[in-house]
Amino acid sequence: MGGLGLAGAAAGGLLTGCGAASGAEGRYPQRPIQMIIAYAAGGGTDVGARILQPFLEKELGGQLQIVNRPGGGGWAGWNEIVQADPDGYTLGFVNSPNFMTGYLDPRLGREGVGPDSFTFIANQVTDYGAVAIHPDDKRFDDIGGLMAYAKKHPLIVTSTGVGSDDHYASLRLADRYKTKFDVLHNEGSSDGISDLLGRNADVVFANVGELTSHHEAGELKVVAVMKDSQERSKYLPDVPTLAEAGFGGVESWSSRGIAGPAGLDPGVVERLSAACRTAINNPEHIEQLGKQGLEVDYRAPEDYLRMIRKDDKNIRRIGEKYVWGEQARQ
Amino acid sequence: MPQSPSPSPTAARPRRTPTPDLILGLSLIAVSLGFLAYTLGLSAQAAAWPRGVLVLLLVLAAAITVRALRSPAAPPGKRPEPVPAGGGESPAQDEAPGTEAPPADGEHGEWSRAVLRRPALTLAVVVGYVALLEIVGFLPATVLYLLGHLWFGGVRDWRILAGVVAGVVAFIQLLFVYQLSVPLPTGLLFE
Amino acid sequence: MDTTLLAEALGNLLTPQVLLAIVAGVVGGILIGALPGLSGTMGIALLVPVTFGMDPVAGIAMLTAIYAAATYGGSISAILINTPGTPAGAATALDGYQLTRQGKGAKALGVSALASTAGGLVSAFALLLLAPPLAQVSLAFSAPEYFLIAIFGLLIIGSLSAGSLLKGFVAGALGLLLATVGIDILTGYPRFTFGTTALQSGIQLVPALIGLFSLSQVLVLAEGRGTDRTGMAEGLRGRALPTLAELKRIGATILRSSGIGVFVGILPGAGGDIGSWVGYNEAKRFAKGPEKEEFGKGSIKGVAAAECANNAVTGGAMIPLLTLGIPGGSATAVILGGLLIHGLQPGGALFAESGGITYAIILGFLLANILMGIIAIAGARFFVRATRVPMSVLVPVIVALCVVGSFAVNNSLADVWVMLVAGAVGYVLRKVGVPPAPIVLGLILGAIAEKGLRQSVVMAQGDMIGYYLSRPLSVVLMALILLSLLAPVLARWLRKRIPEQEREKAAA
Repeated sequence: MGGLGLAGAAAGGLLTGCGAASGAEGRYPQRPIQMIIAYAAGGGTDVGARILQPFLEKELGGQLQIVNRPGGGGWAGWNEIVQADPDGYTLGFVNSPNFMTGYLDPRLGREGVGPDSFTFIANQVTDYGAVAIHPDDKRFDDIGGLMAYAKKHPLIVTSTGVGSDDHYASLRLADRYKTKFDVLHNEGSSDGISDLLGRNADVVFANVGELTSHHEAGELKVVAVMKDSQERSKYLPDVPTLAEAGFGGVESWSSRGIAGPAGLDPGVVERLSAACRTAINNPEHIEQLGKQGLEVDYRAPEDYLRMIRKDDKNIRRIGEKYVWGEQARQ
Repeated sequence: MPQSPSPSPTAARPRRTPTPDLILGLSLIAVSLGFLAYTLGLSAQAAAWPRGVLVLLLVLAAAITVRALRSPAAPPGKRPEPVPAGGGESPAQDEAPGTEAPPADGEHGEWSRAVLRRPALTLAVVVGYVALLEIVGFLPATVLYLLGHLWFGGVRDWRILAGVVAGVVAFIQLLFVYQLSVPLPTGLLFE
Repeated sequence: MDTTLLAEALGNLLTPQVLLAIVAGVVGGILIGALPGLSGTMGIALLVPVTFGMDPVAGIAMLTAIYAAATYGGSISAILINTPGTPAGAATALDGYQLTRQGKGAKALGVSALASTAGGLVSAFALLLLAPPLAQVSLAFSAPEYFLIAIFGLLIIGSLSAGSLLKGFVAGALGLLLATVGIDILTGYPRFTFGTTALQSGIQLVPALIGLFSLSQVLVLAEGRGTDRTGMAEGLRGRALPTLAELKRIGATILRSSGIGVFVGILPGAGGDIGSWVGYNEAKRFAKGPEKEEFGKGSIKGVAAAECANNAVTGGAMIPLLTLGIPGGSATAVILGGLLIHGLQPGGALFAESGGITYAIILGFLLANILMGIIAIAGARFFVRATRVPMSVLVPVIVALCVVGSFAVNNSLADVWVMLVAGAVGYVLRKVGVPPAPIVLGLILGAIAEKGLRQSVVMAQGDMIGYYLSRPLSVVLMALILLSLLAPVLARWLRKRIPEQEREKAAA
């Protein structure tokens, strides 16, 4: 380095490079970490991140800076994570399976990225899918009745957009059990709930966190949680899971967790992962998210990556078949 | 984005100049056709609505073109007057500007070089500002831009220059950066 | 609401902490609203975490105070510098800026403050007294009705067009075209994105609005013509409070706009931006004779109609939010998050079980609107000084705020470029007589119209015409559309037959 040493040291606070990363091994973080949220301020992911922020800051002994980069179905923000220097100072929240459509759908021209473009650090929340109907529906009042009816008659089911977890949820159920669902796309779950309450749609596909309060108020009836196990959601103890009701093999969730760009230094990952584990499992954090009906589900890096790979595999198959493949393009 | 018709005052010939309306109509036809071509790559479902909108635009553009061709020599007094941002300046029948402080329009050379020079320069300064802030970051670019534009506007009093720059920068820092934590661009140089 | 509940609610409301929170919310909201690019949504979103540690009444009351005050704040910059601070302020700019040019800026601000407060108060009372039945109305609306409402809204273009109706509709069609840019939400196809990620989420309303109104205005000013500012300077001495005669003139307008605003607010998916246009249009439709001619040239009725309607939307939008947990727009969606964080589940239980808190929040919203009016009228004489700043200083400052404002919406430089292109194109279009207002209207309503139409195709499951005819609300809306299409034709036909003195009535 020689003569450049001084300049390099002076720029160290600003420049991000290999130098900073290796220096980080000793003490990380040395400066604020940018935490990119791919959605606008005030959305579910943003609120979850802001709730986690103080807990994680305490564990890391450093500062987090939350940066909202909405746009491109989330990919404006996720691209920024992918392209950041893997020094541990640019991280972000990744939403699965919603982020998969962005790279799997060939129409969007993003074949260059995928799960390998990220280093997955910790999952924060897993919000399972749920199926809801109108409480006064005369045609069916449980998941069994609903499925039997839908095999013969087409039903209008809601979705929160092409390539959303709720869209895939209805596609996968229809794919496996040959039900007739006409998908009504909207931009958020509240539009779908409004359509169900006004009897303009027959079935709502959304997440437990979005439906619990309405279910408790009796405005709508959640008939199944889209979980492929016998264990019920703790927020909806009176609702069976799909597996319990005899419709195994299909599950759906919307998860979000922290990831960085590929090639993150293992030492940094270890440090982050330990801090995330303590912060996310902090009872106070769990309680605050619980108030939003969100289930905290900490997953360590390997476990988190396994979940992402599973999502990737499922979405690849269903998407190819129904969303962007030849058959879907009529 | 639709391409704006770029009226070239240099091409002014003594007779039969294309009127602004003619240029508008033709550019809109070009824009609609270009976008229509783009819709060929979409599925029928995704393309239906944009095609409907584009056909509507095409019809309206054709109507403007035809109208412009029918009355090629617009009387000098009937130059298209600039519409205030509000849009609702005057009802169709009423051509006379009825406000107390009317824009001095209706004179010769709505599209003359003398009239367009300052807006064009202003636009160039603003484009330069945005390009600069991508490179050197928001704060230096804003300081440079404010000084430049104030100077360009004829402000020479250093107290005003310093005051405006300091005021705007302090205000943006306080509100956007500290209160709303907007991550203003730091520029490629200092990333 | 019985007296014990009222007493409990007032007890919750009238604490120093809550009152301070409301004042802070009102002042901050006015400031955020007045700055182009910063919306109430953003202010609320960033303050939600701050409210974690606060008492629920103080926290939520502050959020709703920001919501109301930011909606009003948008009118300040719209009136004084023709730069709407929020999309909902765009309609206000039409007449508000003309008034400023005539030296009546303070008056316009006063009318706007009064109308906003009135609209906000009416909506607060609607929220307080009529919430449950009105919430049911919102459920009757679905895709077909949204499509028809959007079409109805697009007809407003007819009354916005200066000079040439044809060019007005061209502007509207351009707006509709801009609205199709981005990923199609029903098929996932990217449309007119030209391979960029930035355009995949579409042309953002706020940068487009800033470009079309503010930057193009800057370019018009740069021509250096018509910058006679003596009239404006007089505005500094003018009074802000409307006279009794003026109050009488705008009274009916305010009532009508309040009703429209509350109604639009109740509909999920339609916000203050749509409310203000509809309010403006109806005020113009109901105006008679010379008053009608005044619209677009500085009518206090126009300012009152638009501002009253967009503030009436705020209380209306909280009705489905509090009673059903359905947020009508992004601002209310964020407030929903705030409610949930404090353990307040919207729905019937909110009123039955935590009535003391809920009614305190609603009363706090009422109080915020009153405070907003007081601060706004008191401040009008100060705000109006912005127009005394010389143009050579004002223009660079506006540009810098336009740039930072368009960036701040999504923290995206691409949006800044969208703003620049919109500004340049908007300037050229204005010069050829194509007005910017219908472009914005097309951009706002285009997406609603397309989504509504295509969703109703799915919902009709085959028979489209039969489906529309089977829905009573759709039939009513279709009749309204037909009526407003035929009205001018009918009026012209009548004008030919009816003697001179009868004309005015027929035209109205």
